[in-house]
Amino acid sequence: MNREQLRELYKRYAERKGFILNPDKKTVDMLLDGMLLREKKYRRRYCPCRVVSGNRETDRKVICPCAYHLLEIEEMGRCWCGLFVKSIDVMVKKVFTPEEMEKWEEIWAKIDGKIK
Amino acid sequence: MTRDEKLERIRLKKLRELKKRMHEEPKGRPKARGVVTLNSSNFDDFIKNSTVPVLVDFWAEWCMPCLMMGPVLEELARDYAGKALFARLNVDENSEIARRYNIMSIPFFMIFDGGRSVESVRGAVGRGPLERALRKYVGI
Repeated sequence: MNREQLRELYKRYAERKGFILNPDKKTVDMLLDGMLLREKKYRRRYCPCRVVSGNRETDRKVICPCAYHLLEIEEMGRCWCGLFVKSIDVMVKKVFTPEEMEKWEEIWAKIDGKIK
Repeated sequence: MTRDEKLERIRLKKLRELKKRMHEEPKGRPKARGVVTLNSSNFDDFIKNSTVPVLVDFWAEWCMPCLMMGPVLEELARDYAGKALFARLNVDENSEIARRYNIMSIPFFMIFDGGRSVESVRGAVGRGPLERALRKYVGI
């Protein structure tokens, strides 16, 4: 699969789920390239913003679209790496406040089953 | 010269050589001024031999939040030159080090003092939280 095919795949996926692909094409290109390279290396399209741990169960959660993205988009307006956004006006290239980081961590812990 | 002084000289020489080697960035990658590139073969030595705290940025080339934090690290490296060392480790190329510290998402920053990990900061948080964490160890 090449970058354009992958873009189309994720674009359709996002539309089906009610969100969109990040309108910043340059960022999306970079993320897609990263995923394709990781696919070549690990045979799975792991999220470029996650560490591949070598633990099959943990790593399964970070194959794009990852286990966290739906809740992330719902609560933060975007997924962690910035591939998907809730709407066109979501600012992706921004730094997070400590409070926002806490919220991210809470989402990850929820999905990992560490908190309810 | 006492034995301790000799050992200190050797240690400093080794550290200087290590730093020099690590500043030789691979071709095609933007050079980050004042920021050392670590990998699995030099990571432990660098952390262990540093006489000042070390801030390590765990990152990957394709990670947008990581790229946003690059200039922040360079800024800190400039402002805290001599008081701390700054380094980056690519988790795609050195995943075993990231695993050792149980790092799941990037960007992830870890401060080492006296050869051990003392504090970590996760995410694209800008300069403030990183600097606050660092200041606890640089003796300001």
